[in-house]
Amino acid sequence: MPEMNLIEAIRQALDEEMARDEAVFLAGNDIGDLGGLFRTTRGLQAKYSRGRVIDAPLSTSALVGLCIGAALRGKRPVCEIQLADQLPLAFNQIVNEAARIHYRTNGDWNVPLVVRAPYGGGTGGGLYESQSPEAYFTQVPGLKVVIPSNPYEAKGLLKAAVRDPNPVLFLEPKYGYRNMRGEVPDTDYTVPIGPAVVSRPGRDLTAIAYGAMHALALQAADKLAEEAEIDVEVIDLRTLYPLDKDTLLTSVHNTSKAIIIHEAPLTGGFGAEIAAILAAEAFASLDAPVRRLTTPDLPAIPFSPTLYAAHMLTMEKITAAMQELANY
Amino acid sequence: MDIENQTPNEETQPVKTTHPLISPVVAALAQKNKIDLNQITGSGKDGRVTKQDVLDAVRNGTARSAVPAASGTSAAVCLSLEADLNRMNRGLKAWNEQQFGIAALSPIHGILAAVLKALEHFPQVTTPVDEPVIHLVCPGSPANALPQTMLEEPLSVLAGRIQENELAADFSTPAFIIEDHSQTGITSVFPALPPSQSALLAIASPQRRPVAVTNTMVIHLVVTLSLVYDPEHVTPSYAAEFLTFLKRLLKEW
Repeated sequence: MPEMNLIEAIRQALDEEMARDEAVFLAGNDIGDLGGLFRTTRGLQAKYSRGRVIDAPLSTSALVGLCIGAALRGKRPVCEIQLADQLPLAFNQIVNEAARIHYRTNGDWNVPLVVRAPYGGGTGGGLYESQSPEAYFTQVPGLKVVIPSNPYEAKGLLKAAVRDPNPVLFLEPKYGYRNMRGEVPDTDYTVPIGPAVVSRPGRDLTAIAYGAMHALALQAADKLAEEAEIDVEVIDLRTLYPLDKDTLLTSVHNTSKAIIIHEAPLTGGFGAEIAAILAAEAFASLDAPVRRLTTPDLPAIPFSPTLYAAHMLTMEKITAAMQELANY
Repeated sequence: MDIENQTPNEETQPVKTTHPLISPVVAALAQKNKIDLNQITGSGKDGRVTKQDVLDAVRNGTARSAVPAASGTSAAVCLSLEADLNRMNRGLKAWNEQQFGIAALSPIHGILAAVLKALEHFPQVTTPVDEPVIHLVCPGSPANALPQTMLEEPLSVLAGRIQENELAADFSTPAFIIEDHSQTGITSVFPALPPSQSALLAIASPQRRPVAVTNTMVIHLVVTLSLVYDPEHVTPSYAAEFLTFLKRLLKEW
């Protein structure tokens, strides 16, 4: 089975879907000759056409609006937002239009749209290139929010997103674009949107993570198992909305302790939703307060490497938090 | 009614504990298994009792709640069933012949061993104390005193306990009472539950009776077992499970 990084897995998914279905097209800034800001679409315009890999004008709102219109006309657009930090520029189109149209038209119209956006830190992007805005969009019924945690999931989830009849926000952990490597089947497969997966079984506590933080959580769990005999169960959410509550609850019923790890700031982060669910539906099983490990509530993500290192979650910080919870 | 100045009664007062925090799962496990958290040294943060601490206490049979003895004011409930002793009887006979060449052990000894085993699986039939006291009462005859030195576990344990209590019917403290009518010829017994007790098991006199085994009538040794219990301390389902478990132990000896 070939091994590839996240970028290559995403590119392969796009390539396969474009070959499979002529209605699939890509649109975004500099995605043609350049292959996009992170080169995820490199070579696709040459392989298909300028009409199916569209270099869009520098207007994020217009880009998403264009794709919504095409979707309503039977196309399956995949639009690339250069950075998730720019998603607020298309907020109205995504939230008020794409996510509502199926409901608003009583099911007569669908918007089979995928909005791809790299999110998170790890590349020294500072204020405008490091944000994790997923929680803004998990409060939008009608919009699925998907975040892969490894190349295998990236390909399978993206293909499932392209085939989904309704809009999907596909957030890609850009820290993992080149750092995450793994085996990816070169066959046509999908990873279903919705179910979470227990990526590491354990009995002492449940660690819930997604995206780049999931990989760090796995490393921390392995370290604790080796050095402290603490057996952490790690859950890879894969889909934030709709959320797979059953997998979370089953795990927490067994371990009785939960830690949620995400790059986004604490207040109003997606971890708050999970913590509320666990408090409401797993209360009798809890042996410790539900812990959220996040980046601090700062107005801007530091650009200074020193400040950024203090700001960002690391495997060591996650290990320490897990150990503290295990010993609670 | 002056609600604000009412003194809460004992039942409504919160349980006091010296532990810094009792998590929901610890509270639930302690209540379900009748564990006294004050008897546990917590291994968690600041001495907190953790879920694992409670599970360890349940597994080790320690820290059981010293709940008040049954009041004796509620109606006792009696469950009764017939247990097949044929297999057990054959086993005892073989053992006797092998060990002594004489009938040293009678069916009542086998039944008592099975009762002890069943109590290990269903400890809450007895009043929850760390080491359940078992009284053996033999109306009309002390003939079933057990020859301790001749027995192996678990019968020797039972013999030891009974001898410690000198077969005395001292019901002032909570215990599990076994009423042995095996020598009396009585085939069904429905005794009263003494005050302050949780449960009593009556063993009638074993009888040879026709029993249907795979559509064939055969003669087996059977005995009627009756469990009288206080439903305030033993739930009906738990009592029924205990009795059917005992029956299965005897049948599958």
